[in-house]
Amino acid sequence: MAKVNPVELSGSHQTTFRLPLIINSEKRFGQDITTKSHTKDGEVSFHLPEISDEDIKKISVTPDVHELSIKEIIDFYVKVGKLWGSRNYDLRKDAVLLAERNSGYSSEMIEHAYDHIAGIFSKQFISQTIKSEIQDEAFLDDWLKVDSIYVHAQPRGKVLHVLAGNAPPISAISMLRGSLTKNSNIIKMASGDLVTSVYLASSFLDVDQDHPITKTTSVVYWPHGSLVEEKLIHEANAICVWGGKEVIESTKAKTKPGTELLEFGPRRSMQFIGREAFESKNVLSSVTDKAAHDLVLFDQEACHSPQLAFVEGKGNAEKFCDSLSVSLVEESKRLPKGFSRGDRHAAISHERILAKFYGEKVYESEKTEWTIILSDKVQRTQRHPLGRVLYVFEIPDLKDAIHHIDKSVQTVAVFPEKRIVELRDDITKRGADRVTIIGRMGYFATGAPHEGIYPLSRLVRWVKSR
Amino acid sequence: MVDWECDKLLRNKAPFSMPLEQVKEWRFKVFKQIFEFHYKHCPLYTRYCDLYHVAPDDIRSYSDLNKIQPVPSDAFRDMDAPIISVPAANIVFKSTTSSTTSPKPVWFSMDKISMDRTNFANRRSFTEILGLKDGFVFFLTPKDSDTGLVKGMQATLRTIGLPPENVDYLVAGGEFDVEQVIQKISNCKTRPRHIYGPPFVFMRIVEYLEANNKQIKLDPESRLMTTGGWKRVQGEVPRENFIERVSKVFGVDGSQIRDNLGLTDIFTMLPECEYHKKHVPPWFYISVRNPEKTSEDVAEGETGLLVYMSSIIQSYPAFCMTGDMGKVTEGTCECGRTGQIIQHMGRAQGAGARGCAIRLEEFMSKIQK
Repeated sequence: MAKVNPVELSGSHQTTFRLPLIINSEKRFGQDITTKSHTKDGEVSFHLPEISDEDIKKISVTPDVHELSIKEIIDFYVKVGKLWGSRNYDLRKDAVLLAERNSGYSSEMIEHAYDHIAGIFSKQFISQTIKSEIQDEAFLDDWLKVDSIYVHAQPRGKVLHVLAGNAPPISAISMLRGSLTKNSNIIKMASGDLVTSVYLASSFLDVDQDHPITKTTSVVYWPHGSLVEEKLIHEANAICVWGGKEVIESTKAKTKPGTELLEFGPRRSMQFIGREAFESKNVLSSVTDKAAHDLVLFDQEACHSPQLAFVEGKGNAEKFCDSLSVSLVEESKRLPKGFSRGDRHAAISHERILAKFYGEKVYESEKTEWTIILSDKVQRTQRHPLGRVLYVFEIPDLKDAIHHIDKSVQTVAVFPEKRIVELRDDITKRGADRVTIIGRMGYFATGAPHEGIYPLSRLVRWVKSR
Repeated sequence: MVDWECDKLLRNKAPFSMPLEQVKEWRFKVFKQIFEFHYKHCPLYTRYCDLYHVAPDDIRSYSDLNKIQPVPSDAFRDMDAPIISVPAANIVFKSTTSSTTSPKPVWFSMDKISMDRTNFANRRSFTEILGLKDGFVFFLTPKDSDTGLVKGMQATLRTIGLPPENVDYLVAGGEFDVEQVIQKISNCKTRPRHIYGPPFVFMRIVEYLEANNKQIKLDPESRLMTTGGWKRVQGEVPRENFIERVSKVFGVDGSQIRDNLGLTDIFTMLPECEYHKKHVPPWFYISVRNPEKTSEDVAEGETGLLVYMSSIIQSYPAFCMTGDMGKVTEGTCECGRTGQIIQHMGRAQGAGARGCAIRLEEFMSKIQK
């Protein structure tokens, strides 16, 4: 097996790293661009080369992988997933070290994210995804008779993935979607996660350096506003853009008509806790353990992270907060909070003292690891400091929380699961895209649509023939 | 009748150059007294301090000033009852600062005593630190702007006795005509001529004069005053470069170019001295808290969450935590003045962006069209 370390790691105190661009499996280093990350050990610099005209030329003539069968594609990713499933895989070990310095997440959080990536690359997840989104994987390989015509799913060509740095699994899911639809992938790393995509694409070389997916995957970076951005957006036949409002609007504005654009973010999420959670202490602690996990995952930076919780029944909100405080202490040991700059801590501290001045009850860790604010002012949660801060509101009935949902809400997690049926229509009519169970807010369910669409079906051209 | 220590301090002959130990003694006296007053007369503040187990008896030394519980500025927006320490009938003026994150403005209420003291204090800062006593002031802003940037300076100019006819506003109807501005400044007969505005508007004039190889020769006593809006020019024009270019086209010494820190929550502006340091007068105190644990202060010179405290406002507990980050050092400046020097570093991410900066962005986008 060819072992290809993308980066030289010379010790745990290293503060300068060189990261490559990968152009159709070939790595190129350089120092044209420097990005800086703030970590618990101080400032860390990452040097990367600028994308050259030659790189863009190579990318522009990259073919799709239409000739591969879907089975070959699945087999390839399953092999990648098996490598990443081992915490002793060399590339994964290096990626964890580096990602901690780049993203600021704790190593435990990154390991958790990489375990999740291994799950995304499992045969079960991939097969179920194709089945849900395309119905029959044979559409991807062949022409299937539908009534009187034959239908086939052709790749669009080149998919540009403009990634966000808030959740490492984004890299995996986005590139997997590009490949399952037999497109070639151009992956634009986020400055907050310069590591995961480079290491995933490097592990392709460990699986098969001559594989068409390896040979048609490029991982690139450009600073915001670079001229390269427009050139590569122009080259793409489809774009998956993840992240904040600014990046989505900027990418949209530069996308030419006819290019398929899939937007993921920015959104926020909520938890609905029914009165059934208070039937016994055991039930409540089980619910709050799961609620705590949803809250701490990616330090609340993701769209699926809960920012508000609505608790049903008089007197129950305090019980929920008490129990959640205990759960958060434990969950924070398992998945410690990453590094935050002073201004992020300040924003949390500011919210805490504001809440106390309002006379609201604040449950808090000694420093700023986690915060629960028992409030009655939903309006002010629009300005949310993130960083594991949950606003909790008591309501007489879960239905009373529905009017707080709008299109900015991505996920609503409900306890107990049986209450989902009574609420899901109203929740989704108001604009939310996903109703799930407590504890699973951060995980891509097999077969689930994403942000209101089936992405695979959008990354192919549905063609027909007599 | 309270015998206010702060009134004595305000009338001190040399409040900006007294020995450091004396500054500390005064600060301790005036802040202990005002904290006691608010604790006793503002029930909302009393309840809040009790929650943190802080009471007047806990303030026993200068370093204990950091124990005074700060009020988040946003609290002055949403409370059903006003946050005041004097009878509502005594309120003579309410100042608002607007917000981009809430439709409700933040309200600060002033009684006559607080207002008079604040005006007097600001006059001392402007005449004794900034050196602005008379002349003509050109605002590079609209007249009717309700930002603290404009309203604060208007109020300060009134306190130093500058007649209204000695003030002009060079932005009208969203228009900023650089040539007309240059003409107005050049033709003004009243001396010295001063200019006040956000840095990015200064840069419009500078770029025009540089491109046309022109200069406006201002006066030896002129002050070119900036405030807010540094974000717009930072990165493009570092401060040193800004001073160099402005001094060249206006024919002034770099020491005549002064930035001001507008603190609307405590009704003041902190002007720079001739060495470009922002001095904190002894009747104010800036406490720098640990962003992770606001009950603790950070070591001197370290970045933290700023609490702006005024001992001369009795109408509300003016111990305001705005979400601003910065550093404070304490000592004697090259200019000979003593006490705290503040370096403002911006706003905490997530804290509501209030006031001038955002409003200036809107203003900027208008005049760039």
